[in-house]
Amino acid sequence: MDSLNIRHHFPIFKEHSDMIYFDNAATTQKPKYVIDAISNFYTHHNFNVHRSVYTHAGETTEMFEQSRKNIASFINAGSAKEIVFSAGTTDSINLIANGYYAKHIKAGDEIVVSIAEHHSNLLPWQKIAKNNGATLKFIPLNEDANLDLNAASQIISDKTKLVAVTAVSNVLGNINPIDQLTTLAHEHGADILVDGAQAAPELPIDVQKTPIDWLAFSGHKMMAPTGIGVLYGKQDLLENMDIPRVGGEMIESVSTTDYKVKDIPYRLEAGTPNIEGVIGLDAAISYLKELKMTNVQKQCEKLGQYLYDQLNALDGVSVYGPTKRQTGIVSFNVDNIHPHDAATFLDSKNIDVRAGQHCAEPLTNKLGVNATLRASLYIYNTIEECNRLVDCINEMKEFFNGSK
Amino acid sequence: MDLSNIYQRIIMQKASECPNNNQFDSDVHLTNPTCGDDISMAADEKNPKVEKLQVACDGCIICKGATQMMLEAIQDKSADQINELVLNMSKMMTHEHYNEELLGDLVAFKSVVHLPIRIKCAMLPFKAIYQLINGDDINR
Repeated sequence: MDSLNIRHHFPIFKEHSDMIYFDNAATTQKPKYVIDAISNFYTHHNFNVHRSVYTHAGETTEMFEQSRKNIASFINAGSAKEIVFSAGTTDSINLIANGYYAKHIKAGDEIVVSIAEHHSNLLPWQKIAKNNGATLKFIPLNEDANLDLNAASQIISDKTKLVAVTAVSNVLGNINPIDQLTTLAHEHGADILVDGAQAAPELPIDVQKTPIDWLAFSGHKMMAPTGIGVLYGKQDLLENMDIPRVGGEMIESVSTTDYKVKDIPYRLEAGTPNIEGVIGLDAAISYLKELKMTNVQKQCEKLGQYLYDQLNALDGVSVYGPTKRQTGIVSFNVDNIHPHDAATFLDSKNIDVRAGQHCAEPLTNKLGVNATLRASLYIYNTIEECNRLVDCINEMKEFFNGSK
Repeated sequence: MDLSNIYQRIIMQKASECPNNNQFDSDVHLTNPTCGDDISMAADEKNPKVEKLQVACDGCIICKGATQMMLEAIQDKSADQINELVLNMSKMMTHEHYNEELLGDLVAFKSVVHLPIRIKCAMLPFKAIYQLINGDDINR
């Protein structure tokens, strides 16, 4: 895949032609194909779903449910029933924590996460552990900054009720061994939840080949709009979830004193859903399918490795995470320059990078830094952009430290 | 954006002089959670006199420069005068009318208003000293 060939699909790069956008782990840009799909929805199909008999609403409902099927097929879910729409990864994980584990985790049980979790896959479990008298355990990183599988096999035990890990670290960019963790969890009768926020945009996902129990991901990190996310859960688990919200759309029948709820996934989606979000996510997924996820992964890996190698070759630059790169996420620091000052300098050169703790404070503490810079690259980024970043880092060293 | 207006020589110089040894029990500890700026302060019996004040700050140049320059600005000032200084610094950051004379060298931070995201870096030491003196947040 040639990133230059798809760059013109993204109107924002025409608007900001000098911009180098390296903050894709925060959010991705949208191709015209996705923007058009949303515009098309509002121009031609803006009707509510699931409630009206007239043809227009029926057509929109069909589009909406077809999107659910396409999203199910994107992650190879056994059934579209297993796809629940949410507001994003954080929302999905909170729904799972509050709707399922709040009542299934008992005092003395253990929940296992990794030290590299985003706060969205840490805080819900801290809360459950605290409320239910359970223990939260952390899988450490090994010397190569990858998840320590040996330690994981010691930590995951028959006491473990849930293993909740990210598929890709949003700071270090490494892919976690979800296959092995799934086997380990299931051997001990535990469930496994995968935070797919950074994986869904870059990697092929198959929830049957790797039979995880739960998966959460966000639309906006994979070229779809903000405010739409997916909660995938195995059917029997979803059926045992407490209903998070009651109200419109989710009921079979209502009397003055009681109600009977619909089947999954509808009973977990009270109220008018984010229809434009679902349509936009469907469009983003068909755009990704057109590119092929294996190509997307190769491109991100190639860009990530190139940038890593370039940065690693610079004096006075520390790059975090494994030497062998697997995604487009590269976190680093420049000696004696605080990441916030560095990000401001790069901003003045029209390069957008993230500076901070990236919502993963336990990990940045573990790395022994109070913040890092993060360049996160995606399919439309280029080698030339990586070279420009390196040039600007040299200029920056001169500006702040008076040396190259 | 002209970076040399933001990273003025005086700010960069003062940032390098900012105290960073936090081996004391802090009365106030503030952070900027998104970036990791971190400041601790302690004082004897709420005495804000500089010689009795213990301060440690780790963070960016803007935050460290502001900390050191604030420490220099509050020397020999009473609690009321320090509150006045904090108020004027805050006003400068929100495009309100402020007393330039009172701020002195701190006017060097004027350009930070063009970087809204960095205002909290410059304001962190001022919030901390305000809390130390008054026991609560500046209500602005």
